[in-house]
Amino acid sequence: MAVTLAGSLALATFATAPALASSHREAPLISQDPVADNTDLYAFRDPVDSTKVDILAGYIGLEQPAGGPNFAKFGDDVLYEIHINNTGGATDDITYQFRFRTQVQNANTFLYNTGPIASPADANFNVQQVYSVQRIDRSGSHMLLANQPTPPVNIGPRSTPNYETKLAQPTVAHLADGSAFFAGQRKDPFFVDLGSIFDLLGLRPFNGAHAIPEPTPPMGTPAGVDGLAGLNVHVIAMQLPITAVSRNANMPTTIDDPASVIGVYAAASRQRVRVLDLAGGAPRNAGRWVQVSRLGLPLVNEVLIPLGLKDHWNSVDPKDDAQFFPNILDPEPAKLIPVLYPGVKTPQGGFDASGNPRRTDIVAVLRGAALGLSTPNLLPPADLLRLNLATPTSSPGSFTRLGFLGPAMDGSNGNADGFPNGRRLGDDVVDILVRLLAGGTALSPDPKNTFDPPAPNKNLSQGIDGVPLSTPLMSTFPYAPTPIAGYCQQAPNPSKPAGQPTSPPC
Amino acid sequence: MYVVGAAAMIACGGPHRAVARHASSSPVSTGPAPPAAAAPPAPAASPRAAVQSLLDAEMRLDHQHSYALLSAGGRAQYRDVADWTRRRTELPAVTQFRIEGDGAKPGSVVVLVQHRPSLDPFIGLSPARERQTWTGRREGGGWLLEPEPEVQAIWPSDSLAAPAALRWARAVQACDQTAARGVQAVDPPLGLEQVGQLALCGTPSSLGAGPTGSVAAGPASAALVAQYTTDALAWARAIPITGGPKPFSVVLAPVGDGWQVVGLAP
Repeated sequence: MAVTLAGSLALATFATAPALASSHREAPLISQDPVADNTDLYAFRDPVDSTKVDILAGYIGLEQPAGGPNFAKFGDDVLYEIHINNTGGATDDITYQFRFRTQVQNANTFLYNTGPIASPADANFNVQQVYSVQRIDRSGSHMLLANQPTPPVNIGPRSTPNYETKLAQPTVAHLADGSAFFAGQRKDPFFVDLGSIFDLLGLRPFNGAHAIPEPTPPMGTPAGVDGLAGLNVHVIAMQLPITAVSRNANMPTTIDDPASVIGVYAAASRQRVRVLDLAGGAPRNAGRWVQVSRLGLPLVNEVLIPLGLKDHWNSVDPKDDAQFFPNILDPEPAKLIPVLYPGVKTPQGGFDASGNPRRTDIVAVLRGAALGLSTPNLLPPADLLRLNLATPTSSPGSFTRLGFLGPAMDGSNGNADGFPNGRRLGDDVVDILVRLLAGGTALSPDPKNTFDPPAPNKNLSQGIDGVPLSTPLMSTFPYAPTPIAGYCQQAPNPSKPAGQPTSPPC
Repeated sequence: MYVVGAAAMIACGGPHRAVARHASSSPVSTGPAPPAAAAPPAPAASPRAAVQSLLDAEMRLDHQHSYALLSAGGRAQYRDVADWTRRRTELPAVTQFRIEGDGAKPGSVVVLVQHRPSLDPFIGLSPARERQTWTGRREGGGWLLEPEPEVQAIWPSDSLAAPAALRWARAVQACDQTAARGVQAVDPPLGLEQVGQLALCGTPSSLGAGPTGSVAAGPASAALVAQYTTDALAWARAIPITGGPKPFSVVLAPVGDGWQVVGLAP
């Protein structure tokens, strides 16, 4: 097979791709506890009402739409949290907490629903779940919502007809201050070629450059395959007035001002003690809440933290992330690339003799360089999804999946409001982060590192351009797509991407 | 084999160890996000003064100030103000307090603490009053405190539980949902599915209340425990209601100075 030098170099870069699979089943312990497992975190200025900010946190990854009769739901025994820092550090200034409670209407049937569900309160909706929301800030704890219904999962045309309009949208809670909350099942808005990336860091468009050649004839296609195309996720979504989360409770207008920036991470906690009932009753939980999962930036624990530290990483807060900087700033994927893609060079990581990190490009992202902050105003590095609330939203027509970096990866024609300035639902964080780890962005490594990134490093891609459009994002809150109905779930077909059929009723 | 080779390269290479050494002395410009400014220990003149100062600060939600009253052991348990703040937000906020006197153990102080009474899934039961015993340690030329006091909640008398349960049942029997909700801490009550339809509304029978009992762990209390943790088994009371179409018990919580309905049990 003929492999061009450019192709081989490009291949090498995508070896970093495994790091890009956001946070589905990313650590040993939490991979066994999907109900408490953060998958993805999004934060962006509302595209419809720019006075608001939207934050979406996903849990329960790789969710099969047809997973009945006990369909996926939030954990009654899990404390879900979204933490916000607005003072330039990494501690919590505002925390939103969520607790869920399942209400079975009729315990004498195995059915999730005993007939068509016409509304969230329909008596046929047998396994209902409600939730409460509490906000903790400098003024104390404040209950915002209690017993707010969640929609059923999307089962199919007989059970959940008119899903979005009759079942999902009516559960959106609108508060007097303009806030809105939603919790429930959605189509997973993340898109990633899980199958190829976890097959020894493959990027299908660069198959020819991998050290292990494909069988002859080649399997599959050179285009990427969205491994999440046919899968759902559970999402907690908040639409908040910017004045409710900004440092000075105002509407920031100055981009180059740390006070305009918030840092966000999502988490899940369980109580320390769980006692199983000898009589088969529900387990009892006791003790303090212990964090078992967290997520800020979409790659850190996934591919930068080694196996032996992943569970520990999940248990600590961003304010204590310094212990992980040796791993984050000397990324393992960058060292694997030259092995899996012979001849490809990647930047040297670690620290120089003076103790300065060589991967200044990664430091730049951790410090908010893409947020529009000048060097004196950069923030301390932390694994937080940082969003500059003063950045105007891009017009829909100018959207680029490559976010802030844009197609040229130098910020000149990107979206200033795209990842890593927050994260929008359509941002291709995989491509962006693959290129970053490969040293192929304009946030270039320290010149003293003498790394001259080859052109292909700037063009690496998993090859999933536009695939998420097979399930369009919604134009209103909560923006994440309507979940795929179980009835519409398709068997995996290697000849075409899995996903939702386009013909009615799916 | 390639990956194994790469892993070996990484494992034996100096970079990891080298960067780890550097990390501890990273330049300020790339150092970790600074934790909230740590308040140095501020020992008080006496255990009582330490408790007074700590709870005064907690009433103001000034966790940085209260953190300065923690002993070395407390600081080991809560490594910084942020950790301490998180712990305190798990507990009912202090609205008032009165030091009652010295405790039985040397250096301990007994305090009557008041909270805004409530029941929610995050903090659980916030009793109107509780008696806290704080333990002082002589450190740093003064007195500092252990972070977790012994707590004895003060609940309303059990004798008030049965009348509350009966009041709720009679309101349901009278089909007066507003009156029923006035006695409820949770709407709808937990465990309704365990009891099924009560069929009480409009019935002519004379209802009665049985003896007040505790709530045991098991299927009947699963929803209660799921929402309020096993703490609920300590404070919940169950009152059997007699005279209705079917037997059931009303589960109550001690909210404020009275008892409120939180659930039903077969």
